[in-house]
Amino acid sequence: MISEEIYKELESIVGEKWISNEPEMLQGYTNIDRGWDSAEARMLGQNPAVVVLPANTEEVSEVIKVASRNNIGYTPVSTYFTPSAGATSDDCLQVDLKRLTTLEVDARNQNATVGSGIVYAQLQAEALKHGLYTAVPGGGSQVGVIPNHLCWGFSPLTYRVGMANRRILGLEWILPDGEIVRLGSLATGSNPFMGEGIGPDLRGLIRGSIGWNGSLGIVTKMTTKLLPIHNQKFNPLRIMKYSFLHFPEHRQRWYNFTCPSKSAMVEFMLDVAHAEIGAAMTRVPIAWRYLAKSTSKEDYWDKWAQDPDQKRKEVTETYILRFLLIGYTSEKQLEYEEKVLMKIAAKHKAEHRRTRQVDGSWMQSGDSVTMWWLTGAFMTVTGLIDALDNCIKLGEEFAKLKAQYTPPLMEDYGDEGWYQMNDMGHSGYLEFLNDWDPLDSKQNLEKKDIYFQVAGPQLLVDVGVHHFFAQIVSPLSIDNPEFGPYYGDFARKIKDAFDPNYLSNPPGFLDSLDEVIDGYPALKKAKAKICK
Amino acid sequence: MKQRQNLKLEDYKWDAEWCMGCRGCTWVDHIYATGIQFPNKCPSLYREKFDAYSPFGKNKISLKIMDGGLTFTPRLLDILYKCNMCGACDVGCKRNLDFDPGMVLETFRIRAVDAKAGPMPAHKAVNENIKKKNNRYGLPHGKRKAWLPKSAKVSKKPDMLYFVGCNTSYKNKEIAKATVGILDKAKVKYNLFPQEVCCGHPMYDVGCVDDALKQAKKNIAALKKSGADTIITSCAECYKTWKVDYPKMMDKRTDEMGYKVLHITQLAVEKIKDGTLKPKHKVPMRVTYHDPCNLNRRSDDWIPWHGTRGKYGCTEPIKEYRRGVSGVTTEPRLLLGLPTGIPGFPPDIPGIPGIEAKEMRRMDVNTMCCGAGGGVADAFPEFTRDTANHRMDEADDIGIETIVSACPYCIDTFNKTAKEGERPVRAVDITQILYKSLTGKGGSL
Repeated sequence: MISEEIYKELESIVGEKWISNEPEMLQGYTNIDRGWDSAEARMLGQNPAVVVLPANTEEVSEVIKVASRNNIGYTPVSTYFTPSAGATSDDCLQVDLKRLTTLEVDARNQNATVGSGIVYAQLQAEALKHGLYTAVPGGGSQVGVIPNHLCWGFSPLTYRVGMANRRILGLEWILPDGEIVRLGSLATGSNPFMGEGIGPDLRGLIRGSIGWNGSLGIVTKMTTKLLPIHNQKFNPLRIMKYSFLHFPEHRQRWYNFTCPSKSAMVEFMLDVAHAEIGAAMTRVPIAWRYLAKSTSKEDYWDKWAQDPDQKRKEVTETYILRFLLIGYTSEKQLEYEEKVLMKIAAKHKAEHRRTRQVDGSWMQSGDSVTMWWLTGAFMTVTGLIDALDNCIKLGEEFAKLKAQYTPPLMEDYGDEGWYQMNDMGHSGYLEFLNDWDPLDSKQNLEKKDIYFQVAGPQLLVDVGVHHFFAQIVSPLSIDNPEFGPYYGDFARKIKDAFDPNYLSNPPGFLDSLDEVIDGYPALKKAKAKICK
Repeated sequence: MKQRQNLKLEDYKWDAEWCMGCRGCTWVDHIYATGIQFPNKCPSLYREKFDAYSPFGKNKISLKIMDGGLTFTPRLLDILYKCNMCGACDVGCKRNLDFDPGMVLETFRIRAVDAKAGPMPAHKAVNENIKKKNNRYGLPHGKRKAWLPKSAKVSKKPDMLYFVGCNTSYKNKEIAKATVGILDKAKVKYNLFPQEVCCGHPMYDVGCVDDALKQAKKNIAALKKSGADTIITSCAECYKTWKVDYPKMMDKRTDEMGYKVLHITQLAVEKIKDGTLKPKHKVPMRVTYHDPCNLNRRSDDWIPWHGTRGKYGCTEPIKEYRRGVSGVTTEPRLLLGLPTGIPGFPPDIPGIPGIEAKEMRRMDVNTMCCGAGGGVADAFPEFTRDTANHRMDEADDIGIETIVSACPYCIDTFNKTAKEGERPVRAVDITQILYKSLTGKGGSL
């Protein structure tokens, strides 16, 4: 419980207007019934006890000091896209950061400094005004810049620009006990242009989804690198469901190809990467094409269900690649890259397909939210970063595994996931998308949970690929000895050192996920049966 | 006649339950992202900040009301009624997801009234005025048409009826005069609506659906008796009420109502295109256009849906969604010479000569409410003031001091707020500008 005395203390920091413990207000922050339907959200989801909306770094720090002094768990939230931003105990303090809305672009030094309440749509719009850009993540442009950078910040444009977390420069970090730490060049000055600073580089400690899942303090201000792009205008066209950006075609274009085989598709991707051209490239699952063409959810399911044999053939034997080329510096660059791309396509006998030069989901607006539209519930089962060959191998294995859990998972006719190249070909990326009926029977929902929490992670172990994203799906990804007990032990030591009472986003990423597995009989039983 | 169908909160439980909190309901469509300034389109969340005041927060609160976990406390009523019912959340949600947050809000208020908790005291006073005097101000009903110039060329056998509305009848009479002036110039057979009583919008929007339905029945009966089949409005609220709420309360499609509703700007554009209306007098003004919510994203035709949800939430029969994209946004822009709400879509009529118009950053379906809607101006005038000031800041940001709109409530709100704050901003109704261009009359704007 948060006592009246502590409430008053918090109120004195943020002001009467920006604190509440009224049940109606707290219900607005629930992470229950949020369309995720994850076992984690179902088991751990709570309404917080108190919510505060501090105005700046100093207020956040003071709030955290009060929480720390009084042994109160607290959970930060800025844009609330994932259930982990919600309270997981009913005596928790919710720290809503949406009032931290500063955004300053330093065009000369190609960076921007943002507060916790700033979303990607805002950052991208400001960056583009200066001939600069950021990579709007797959999660969408409605997600917070800071939490996404902390998570890792993946986007189709990651091929060219790398993960967002590598673009972090100076930042303000409030430790779990409330102490303000400034990293990078901010540690010794006021200019945040540099991520490196005196002493150990602590940026790795604040990682979100691939680290602490928001449970090692709160970052209230961050400077991120922006990247140069042509200064041509993207014209917004049409409205709402049908809105998109029209590319300046002389500087930016899509190229779609149908490849004759999976191996040709893979070699095509590798050759493009070796040629060091392009802004993005990805395989296009057939389901996406049906999604784009459907007039309604019902229309989608109607068309998707027709002629299953033909659909299976279409899904498993059609290999479509989508490339984005950008003339960053000149039209000549685009012309050159197009020539190279076409030569590589010819080498692999890939057929150039027509495509509209418009975009609704990569440059300015991430539309991953559409994945929820299909059924009402959605989750990615894994994100894998490894050699492209290994991504494809895992995709094949995951397709077999998923077939065993379909239904309750939606029929995907053996799709082997979507993959792309990262870091100009240095690594590949695989993601497996899953929808199901959130109103399915309890038995089927449990079966779905076993797939996500137990069978999927175990498959990663069996295939032996390198991954580090799936920890947000299952503790088995961390605790499984195959993945190295060392990591889990080491992570706990860090947590013990910085947050000995586990107050930051309680109960903390490792233990909260363990609770899900061990406290859920069906999962516990499946773990005993499936895990080696 | 089926009534109050699909107006229960439970009818929209799916929409509340499977909202996954993406906040598409609160941001300007990201394709049109404006940057650090003016990124929001939900006035409630923008001002109040707590998630409970957001559409997604209200979704979750509504679930607790449905399962009995919460009751209508003063705080809950504050959350529920500090909302402009502007429709921003509804169109935002339907960019990526097909939920009906707008209907969650409407039926949530109906639930509050049914529970005898709502509406707010200020709303009850307005409702009493309407019940007693047929207008929201409680002014004498006999004076409703007192503004009508003797020169107006009204017809005894009209094809269309001008439904003037309470505000325009009693407060912004110059809009009414300009409108009949335009109708005269358009050479249409029109008359004023016979025995006009308040359309019922102030009642419907605060959840008093039974009271609003009584108003609807009175007006529809008068329309039938007149023999006309077209309603002309100059008020965005009346427009939306006739076009959307009457069929909604009667569980009919808009096109089954047996009448057609036109905003005066729609008729004007039609008549300019056929050469009847000729805006020839220069009106030298630098202006911006403010989309009234009720003329814009809240005014798609009503489409009842009675069906069931099956696997994956699929609807049977297939539900047709109102996406807020067929409101009256193009015609006012054509009159002002703006390249319409759809960028790249050039004007196909010459605009009013002399007008230099510029868009604010938030426009069309991404517009920000003036702050008056949803009964907020009556119950929470300070909230209205803040939102209006925020919108005027946006006009100021593009260097414009004259806001043109097509709703008397928006006009009132901006002018009142500007006066209180001693801001050099003024709002003018589009009918007044058009009338001046058609006739050279209308005084100084």
